[in-house]
Amino acid sequence: MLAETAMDQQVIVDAIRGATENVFSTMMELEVETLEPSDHQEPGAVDGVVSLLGFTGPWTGTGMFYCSDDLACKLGSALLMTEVAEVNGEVLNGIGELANMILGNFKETIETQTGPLALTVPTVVYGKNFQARSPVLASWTIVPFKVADNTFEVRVCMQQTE
Amino acid sequence: MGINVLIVDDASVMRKILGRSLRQAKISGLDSIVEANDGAKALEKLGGDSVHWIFSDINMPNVNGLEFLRRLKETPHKDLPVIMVTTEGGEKTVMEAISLGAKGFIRKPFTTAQMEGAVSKVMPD
Repeated sequence: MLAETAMDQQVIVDAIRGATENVFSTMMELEVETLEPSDHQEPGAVDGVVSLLGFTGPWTGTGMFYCSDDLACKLGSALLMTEVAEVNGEVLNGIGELANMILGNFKETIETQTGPLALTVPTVVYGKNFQARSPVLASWTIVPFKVADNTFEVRVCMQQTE
Repeated sequence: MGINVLIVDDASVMRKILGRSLRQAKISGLDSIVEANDGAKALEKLGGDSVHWIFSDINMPNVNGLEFLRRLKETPHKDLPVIMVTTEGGEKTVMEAISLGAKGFIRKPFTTAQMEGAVSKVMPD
């Protein structure tokens, strides 16, 4: 059962921003621009690629990386250093690993607040008009970013485990 | 004699990135790169291929990186140098990996220069 304790949203936003900027600049030499964060109890349906990882420990939750299939191809090309024209297995693996690095780095930062957390291996979903939900009761903190004339989002919801 | 490297990571894209980074890094004598997608496959590869260095992720399904280190100690290859390449860089994880025999850590994300630095610290010239 989950307690009703949620974390200060700014702490989560700062950890997401730091992790995302670090991963993009280090692995792909890409600068990202952080856009206005928000929070939503139930974010709406999306089209594109979503990668999800779970957190467990003194806090429980889910982290998500979401982007369009067009941006997924561009990011896949940057990671693999080869031109990718359409979403394929390698692109999906790349987005999964990108989410793993961002949320892994996020976890390292947020553990100063939460205590040690475990992170699952990523799951990647690709499609149209689908929602990703978490059983955790907290709302999602959504941080959008701009890169190469596209936007993507890193989303986290987490709540203290009772 | 050339240096053969084993890369252990469940993400194929990370095995590609790591392989590319090793080739770009100024590591003399690098000959071939062998891949495995988890610790169990890595132990199988060691039974068949000649390997000099190992780079391993920690968070993998089936046999993870820490369990791989434990099982490696029970094999004739227990003295092979292993560098962990992972997002799991917390002190507890680092200490556990070192106690199991890991020679170094590279935290994801990493640059080629960081790869070179980690390799030069722990691998013989």
